[in-house]
Amino acid sequence: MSTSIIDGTIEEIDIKRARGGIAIYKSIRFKQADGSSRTVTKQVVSQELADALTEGASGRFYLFSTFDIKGIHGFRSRTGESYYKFAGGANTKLFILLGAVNLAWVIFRVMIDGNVPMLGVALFILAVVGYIFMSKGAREAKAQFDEDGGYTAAIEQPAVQPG
Amino acid sequence: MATGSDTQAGLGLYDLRGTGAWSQGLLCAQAAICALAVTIALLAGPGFMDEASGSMPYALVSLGQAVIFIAGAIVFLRWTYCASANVHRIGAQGLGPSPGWAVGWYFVPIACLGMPFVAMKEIWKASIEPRDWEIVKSTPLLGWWWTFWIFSNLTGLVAFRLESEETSTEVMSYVETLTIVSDATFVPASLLLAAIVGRITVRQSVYLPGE
Repeated sequence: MSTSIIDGTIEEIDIKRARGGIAIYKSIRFKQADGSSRTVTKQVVSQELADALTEGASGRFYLFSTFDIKGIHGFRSRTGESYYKFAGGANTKLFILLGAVNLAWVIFRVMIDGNVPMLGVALFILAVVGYIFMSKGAREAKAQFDEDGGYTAAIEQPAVQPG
Repeated sequence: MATGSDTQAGLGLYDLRGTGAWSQGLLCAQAAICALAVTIALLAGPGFMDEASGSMPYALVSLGQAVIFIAGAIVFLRWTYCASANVHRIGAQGLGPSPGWAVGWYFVPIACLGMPFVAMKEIWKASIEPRDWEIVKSTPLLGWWWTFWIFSNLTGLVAFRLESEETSTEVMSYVETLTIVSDATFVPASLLLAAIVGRITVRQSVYLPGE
């Protein structure tokens, strides 16, 4: 799990699809505050947040990468709007379901014929690791966004004019 | 295994040249011994894996394969950790697996079929252009390595499962064929990985102080 920040302006957006409250982007290209470009690919974004991610949107973008999902979970615009939504919630539920089903399967097989199904054990381990990653990812994404709450206030301060 | 030069240097980067050279050497040795195992198996003919009347040279080569595989895996995983740590330290942002997980994914069932490949692809891209690594074009070497690696492992796994459940002549014939196929595909997998390790090592060495 990692989080990162991009300060800049969205120059170009290439959306792959948007449905079920989730938008998936092929790529998003940013012009960063230092003048350089940075492109992020295969980004998963909740629809509420995706509505604010338009070409020309400028401010601070909060990104996460966990397990096999990368995305944008927060955006604070230069004009003071603030958006937060972590898009990995569905995967967390999926891992809980996968873990529960496979744990039940392993217990059932052990009780019925005494054999331990290796695929069931493998999927259970995967579910546990996946759940830990996704829930940790959600916590870290939220913490990153909350701890940076001063960003909007900082940009709204009037610039000191020289002389 | 002491590699001598995978110590941190300058900005906290690992110098991969020592570990990389060891890893490449062991991967090439692995390719050579797998090729030898295939040759011996084909020359010995059916029954070469038989416990009582099987080929003694094949049994010795199999032991050698196991030893080189374990040594190679330890050095390669060490190299993977250091290479991943380096791309984090030279400023690549938004990377998926941490250095620990670049190694750890090899041991998680099911996820090991894809996540180590993702980690290696990110290391490759971020070694070339850390600041904007996601737009860097990957190399076909990675895809071919992973295809051969997965195919070799799956055929080897099927052979192992068949052998442990049933030892009839017919089943053993399948087991021997699958074992030869597994060893044969391990040769290009090892050589491709050696090439990948070499190129990433060279690429990352430009970030070391004094280079």
